[in-house]
Amino acid sequence: MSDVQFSRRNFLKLTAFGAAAVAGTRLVKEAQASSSSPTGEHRWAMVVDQSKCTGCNYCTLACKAHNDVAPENNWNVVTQTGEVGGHQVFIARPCMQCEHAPCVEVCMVGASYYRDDGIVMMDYDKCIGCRYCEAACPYQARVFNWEKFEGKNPTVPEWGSPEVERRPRGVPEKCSFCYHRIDRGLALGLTPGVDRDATPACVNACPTKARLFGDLNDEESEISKLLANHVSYRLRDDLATGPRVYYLPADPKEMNVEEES
Amino acid sequence: MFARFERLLIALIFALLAAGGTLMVANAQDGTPPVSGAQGSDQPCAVCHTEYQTTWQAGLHGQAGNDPAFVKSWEEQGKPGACLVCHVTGYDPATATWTADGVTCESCHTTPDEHPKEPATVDRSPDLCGRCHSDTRFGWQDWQGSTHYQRGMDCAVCHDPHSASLKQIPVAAGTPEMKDASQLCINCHKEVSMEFPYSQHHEKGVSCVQCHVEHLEDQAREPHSMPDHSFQASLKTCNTCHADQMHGATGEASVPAAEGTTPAEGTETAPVEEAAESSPVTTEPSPVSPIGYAGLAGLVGLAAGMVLAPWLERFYHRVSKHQHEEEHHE
Repeated sequence: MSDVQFSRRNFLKLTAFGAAAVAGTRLVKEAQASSSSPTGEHRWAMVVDQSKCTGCNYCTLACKAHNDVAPENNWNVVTQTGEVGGHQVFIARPCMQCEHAPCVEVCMVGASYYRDDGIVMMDYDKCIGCRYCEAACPYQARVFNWEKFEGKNPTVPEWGSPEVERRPRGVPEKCSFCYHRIDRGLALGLTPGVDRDATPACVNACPTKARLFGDLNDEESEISKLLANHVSYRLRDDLATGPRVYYLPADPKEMNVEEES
Repeated sequence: MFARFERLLIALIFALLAAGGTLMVANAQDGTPPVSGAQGSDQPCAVCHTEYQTTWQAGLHGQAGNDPAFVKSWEEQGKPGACLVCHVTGYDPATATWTADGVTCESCHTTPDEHPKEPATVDRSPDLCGRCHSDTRFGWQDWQGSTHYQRGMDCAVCHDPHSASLKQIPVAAGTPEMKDASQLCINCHKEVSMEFPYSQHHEKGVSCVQCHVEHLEDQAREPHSMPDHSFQASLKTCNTCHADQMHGATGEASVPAAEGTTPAEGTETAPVEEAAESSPVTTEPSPVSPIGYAGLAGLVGLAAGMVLAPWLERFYHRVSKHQHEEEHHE
């Protein structure tokens, strides 16, 4: 009898320990998830100069080809936002790669996560397709694969050739700052933002060089210098998401100069 | 009987062997250029990059070495080596040999030994294109003077080097669509594209490239010649349709455009300001229409009238007074 009582106590102890351990790990995990992205060696960021953007959409086309995105989906969107000094102004919107990304915070299976360099990544194998991330994103940067993308990509080969695998049906996808190009470039000793082979496809494709890419941790990078010397803004800064895409507002003076030259 | 059949069989085998051998030798001596391959790896580019192979082969770069028109002209001229510098790849003037017909991958790409782990590099500079496309007939100077070139745009912004044709812009629903290469122009020059559809030029079917690139007056082009890459509209182009509205009867201006001979068919008064505005190349003054002259004369008349009005009034008064006095005397 005492044996049975002993084991029951043991059992209760074990259960209590087990519950505490599960709760503990869960709490730690949640704390990790809600914290901002880790600060690694690099902090990649993009700068879009609205004075230079003509709204030609080459960035979107290059993105679709290099990332093999289905025709109905867009990782990058260019929209006209208004007029400044009689000139049309456009805004190009990739994924903002937020420092406190709502999409990562809401993901319950850990399919959305931060890389050390701040890029918000997707693990398509973990994703269960709940689309919480899509709803949470204030920039509508995520698109859902309602159908499996089969057949020819109409943007290939004119705008580039696919460099990543096609995503399965039933998962949301988004711009990844062309992490595969960055990683390959770094492995070869190239500098992302300077060498084309290490730079996102949209930045390479821009005919007016309105898009720039670089490392915020590197004070000598072009974007660091540009952001230090120019007025810039970020989309929905009020939400404290900490976007890593900076915009240089359209300056009518600069736009007129370009026209005269 | 059987022995004869056996003999026949052996003869047949020998014949086949001989034929096969001859074919092999013949093929080896054929001088067919080796398939263009990656420098670092043994595999030709097309094994992996099939998507580029098809468009390249059908395009002018792929056809450059074996285009029938080129081959015919080249043979007629006595097969000069100078042509091959651009029409084949890897031409060596010392030995008069080359690695491949046409403009192949290696013309622009360099494949490292570690490819595909290491990406193949590509030279995108307009100067590389200019090595072949810089003959005076190609208007290289015009291109260098263009704003496109000066603002750092390369040839591949508008041209697809693989298919060696213009890029195709997918047109989104609800946006203006142009029938020809002008689609590329309005893709970036969006402000113009919003105004142009309301102009008489557009109504008459004139597009951007007809005045700015492929000038109306030189539609039939010589081989090797290229449309104007300064992207400036020329006064000559205006004259193709507006000759009868031009003053100062110079040679080409005095020839009135015959109805139906030009794609524009615009012989009536279309506004010339638009073309004149965007043609700073012209050395001649911009033309003034008869309405302009009439307006000027009207202005001069108005000013003269205003100056002379008090005098005339006084004169009238004096005359009428005089008459009145005369009547009074009678």
